[in-house]
Amino acid sequence: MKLTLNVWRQKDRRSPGSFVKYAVNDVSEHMSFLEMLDVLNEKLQTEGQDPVAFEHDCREGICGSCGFMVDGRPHGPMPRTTVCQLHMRSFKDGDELVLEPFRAAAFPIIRDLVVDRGSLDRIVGAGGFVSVNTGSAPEANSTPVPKSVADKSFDNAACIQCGACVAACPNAAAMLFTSAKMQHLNVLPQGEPEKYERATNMVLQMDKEGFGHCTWHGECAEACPKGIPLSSIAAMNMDFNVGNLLRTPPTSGGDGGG
Amino acid sequence: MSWLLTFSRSTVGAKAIMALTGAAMYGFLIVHMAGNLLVFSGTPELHNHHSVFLHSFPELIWPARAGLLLAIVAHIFSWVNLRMRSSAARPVAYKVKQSRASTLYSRTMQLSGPVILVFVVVHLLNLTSGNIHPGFRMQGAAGAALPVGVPGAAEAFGSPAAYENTVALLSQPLWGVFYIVANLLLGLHLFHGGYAMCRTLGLSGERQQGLAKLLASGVTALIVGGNVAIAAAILLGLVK
Ligand code: FES
Repeated sequence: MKLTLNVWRQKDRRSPGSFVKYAVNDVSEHMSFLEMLDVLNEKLQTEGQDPVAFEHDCREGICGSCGFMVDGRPHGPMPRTTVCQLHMRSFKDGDELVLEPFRAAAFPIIRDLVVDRGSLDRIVGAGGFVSVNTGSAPEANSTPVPKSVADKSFDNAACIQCGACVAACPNAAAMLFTSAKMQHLNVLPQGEPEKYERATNMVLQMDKEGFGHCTWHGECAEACPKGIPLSSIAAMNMDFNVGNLLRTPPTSGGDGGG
Repeated sequence: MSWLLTFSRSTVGAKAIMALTGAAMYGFLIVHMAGNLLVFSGTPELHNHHSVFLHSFPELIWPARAGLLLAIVAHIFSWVNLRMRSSAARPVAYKVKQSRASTLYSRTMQLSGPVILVFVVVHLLNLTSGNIHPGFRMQGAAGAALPVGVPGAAEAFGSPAAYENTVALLSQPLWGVFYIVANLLLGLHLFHGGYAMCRTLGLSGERQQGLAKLLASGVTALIVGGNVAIAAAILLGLVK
């Protein structure tokens, strides 16, 4: 099949960018979206042009490296699917697509479709961990975890930190991401003791990075390739509100690093 | 106190403030609607007496008014703060952006909010102060309507003749329709706001969220249904 792509091209962080139109001709429906871009890049390179920069690593939907907007949706039209796992059979011959980077002040563009998502790392650094004393490893079964709790934790731990939630949110909020990275620890007995400090530090770091607020549109959960539920945000709100209003509030303000 | 400042400045804390102040206004709206249902009692005196009754406790009514005003100011202030930050959070707009999950309710919040604010001001000028009214009247202590020559001085004289003033205003087609439309917009705001409020404060369980949604739609229907029924009944001449 033949496709027309309108791709955002931007040389670096400071240069202005613009859309450039490309025709891609020999697209097989069995290709993944990224393989289709590989075909385009090969052609561009033989013509002596700069290839389109996009981020990728595993191409298996598990590392969270890939991600850009395909026609106004993060990772494209397939629900619960990263763009590396998106196949070209989702499109039809003659389609014209717009490829844009994830747009947020906290995601500065590095080049073309590649953005710097270090802000997400800093949120994790502010509290997405459990403090453990060094020493010999604890006995595996010394802390029993009920199945329902383990499931809840695992649902949140499925986050691959791709940033699609931020990209989809009309407020460019990182609420879904932050809540996932927080709640997978907060619900477990190992993470429970620090849950209020964790909530405060991670939310303050999220604010510091310049993400927006939640207005409950639900676009994030819809866009999430891993199906993190909107209720994780509500759980984060509970921990933050209780931690700050009903308990002696912690004095540390998320400085990152942890 | 610095922790309170930190809390109210955070995105989650500022939303909690919007939720709590929203809840206060929700409560007021329920009581307000319920009191006004007295226009259906068939005895104007009953509606007027309820107005006299409320006005006979200045030591309660003024703190309540101050509290509501504070809630409104805090609600708007938090919104402006959050709105400015979320605009800054995406300085470059998408060329193409699809909405997949947002609803009519969620998308119109920023429109319905300011409209409600204007409506509240007009409503106060209509029926509390009487500055905008075809024939605003005060009432004596017995609840009998007395014409008053000084509009806007309601508090100095006692209480407005709630029943007569409401009927005189809403029987005018333009005002009647205006009140109905304003209340329907209020409904959009209340439904999304009510559901959002519960989740902003932290209700996360599957069952709790279902309950919150049910409650938000039920209470919204109650408030808007009651208000619209009053305006429609007067507009159609069923209540005179
Ligand atoms: S490249 Fe690893 S998730 Fe897409």
